[in-house]
Amino acid sequence: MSLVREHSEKIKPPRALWCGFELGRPFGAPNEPDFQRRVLAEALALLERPEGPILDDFPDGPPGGFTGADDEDNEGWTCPVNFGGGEEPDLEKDPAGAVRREMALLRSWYGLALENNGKTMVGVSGIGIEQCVDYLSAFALDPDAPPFRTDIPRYNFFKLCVDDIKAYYFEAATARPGPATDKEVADWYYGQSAMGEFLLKLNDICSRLDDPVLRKMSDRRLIPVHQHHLKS
Amino acid sequence: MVRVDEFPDEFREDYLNREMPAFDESPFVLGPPLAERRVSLISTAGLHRKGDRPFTEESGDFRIIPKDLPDEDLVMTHVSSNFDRIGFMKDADVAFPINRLKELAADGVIGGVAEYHYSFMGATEPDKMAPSVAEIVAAMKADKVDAVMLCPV
Repeated sequence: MSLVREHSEKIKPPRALWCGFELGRPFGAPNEPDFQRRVLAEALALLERPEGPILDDFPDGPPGGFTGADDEDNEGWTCPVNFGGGEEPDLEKDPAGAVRREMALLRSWYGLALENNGKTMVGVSGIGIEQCVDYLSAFALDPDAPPFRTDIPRYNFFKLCVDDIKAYYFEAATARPGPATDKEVADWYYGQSAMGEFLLKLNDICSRLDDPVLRKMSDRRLIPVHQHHLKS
Repeated sequence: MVRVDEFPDEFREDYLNREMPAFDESPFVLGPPLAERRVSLISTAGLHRKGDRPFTEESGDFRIIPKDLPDEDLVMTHVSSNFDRIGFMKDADVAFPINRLKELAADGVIGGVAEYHYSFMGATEPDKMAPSVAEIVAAMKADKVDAVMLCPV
């Protein structure tokens, strides 16, 4: 399978099927088994071709198109919760409190996502999500704060905490039926949530550390490239 | 949406012009009809069993994914933030089509599904994966695999 045609043109694998889908979705779209099967079967069929190298183009885009927003039948993704109003903890003084408040507002949507998806990506850090928040908040005060796991490198544990919280927000935010694209949800997460603002702060801290891996991660591991305009 | 053509200019150019492994020739082999082939998947999505070791930066190692691993036990610890994960959150087959593969086997389109499948974390120098590939080849031979699908993210 190929998602970046330019790369496959250079590598020249014996047989490749290029699909113009989103990065992260090589078989097109979630919960579209017929379409996924068609893509898979078309790629496997290249095995019976007698000559190569082959770089074929899959003719169709994913079901539902690329963006919900461009589709006339669909109004696009909107966040199911409103973080505004009420008592908001100061992000500077109490980042954990600000993030916990948002997570509480998202909790019933997260529960719905768990039910609909039958699974969750939250949990890769190996600790509870509340502890992920605690660790990141301790890290913001002192990056040398002891990580809650010592069997993996600090940067790895840090990133898994970041990923667990992101998964929680993203799963909750996409619990309602209907397509949601990574860019739409990311615009909200990084641009409008306290956690997004906190991540930008953590990223800034990492960019100034001596730890070469954490410093390198501040380039594009923690904040996706399409959100780099938010960096200070 | 995470399509390369939507990356900001500097990253898009960097991404598309990234140095790729160069090969003097493109190996090309023929094999039995598809309906007789036993297929294994290799993903570069940083997938593994829940509780297995998470992937680390620049790692060339791999994780084994058994054929009948329940969907809810498959997780992702890829280090990149620059591809969509919402699809995978809702349906792992969008990146790792093990259930679709089983359906193709049930329909007789392919001969069978390998007992074991594999995942790397793709944001790694290809040279670092080379020793792992030799290990996987040996395991695949034992598993009677004669077709491999490489699934990127």
